[in-house]
Amino acid sequence: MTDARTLVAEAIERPRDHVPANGTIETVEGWDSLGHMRIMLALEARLGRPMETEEILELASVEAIDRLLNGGSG
Amino acid sequence: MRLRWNRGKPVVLSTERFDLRSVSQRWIARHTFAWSENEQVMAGLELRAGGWLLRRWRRRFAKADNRNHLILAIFDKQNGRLVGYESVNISGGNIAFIGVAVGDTDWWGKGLVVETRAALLDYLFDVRGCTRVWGTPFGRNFSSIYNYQRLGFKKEGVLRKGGRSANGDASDMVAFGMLADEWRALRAENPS
Repeated sequence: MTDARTLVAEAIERPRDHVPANGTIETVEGWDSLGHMRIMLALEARLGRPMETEEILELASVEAIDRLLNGGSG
Repeated sequence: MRLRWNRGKPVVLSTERFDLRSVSQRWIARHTFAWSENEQVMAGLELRAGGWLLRRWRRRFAKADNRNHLILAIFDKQNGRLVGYESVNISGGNIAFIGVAVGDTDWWGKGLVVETRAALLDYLFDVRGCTRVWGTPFGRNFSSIYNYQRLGFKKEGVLRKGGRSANGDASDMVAFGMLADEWRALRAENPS
């Protein structure tokens, strides 16, 4: 199972502890526009497919990324 | 640097790190023409890199008049360098459509758009009396989508295959909108 916090942390080049489970684009330092692009590309690499636009638009928080990766397992 | 202007009043905005000043279509085309060779920059605009003629590059920009069509060049306060621009088209008297380009890639990922666009929203809502500001980034322009979301714009819809990407394929675009009351509420929560 892929960990959303780890994926975000690696994409923005911060330690995992830097990214709380309830983190969002507004609250996680380093989750900037470039970081966001890296997160989206890392997600697509992990999923093995390009994401739909509607999916992309939902991904503004760690929880949303977790839902996409793990089907809402939290 | 001297900026000449004939129609309407010049627009000058200032943020912590940047100055924004209205410029003409000709000025912005001439000063950003080198960006047309930069693959990274052009990919963000969904345009092909290289092979542009200056007159064709200039036609990409609206003829700015400081009334309904604005091009605001963004300058780094530290050194006066041009780093990007915001474009604004106001229709119906109070609905503004916006776009942005950051040609200095050293500024990518450093909050330039969030900072400058916040000042632009203040201007459009408070000075120009706009009721609505909106934009339509490409669906795969992750950085641009981030900037709209980070500022609190609401997603209003996906324009399926609403644009053409640099490789000629039809691509989704996303309509993001902000109303004046929404922006004022966000500003009240977070004045910075």
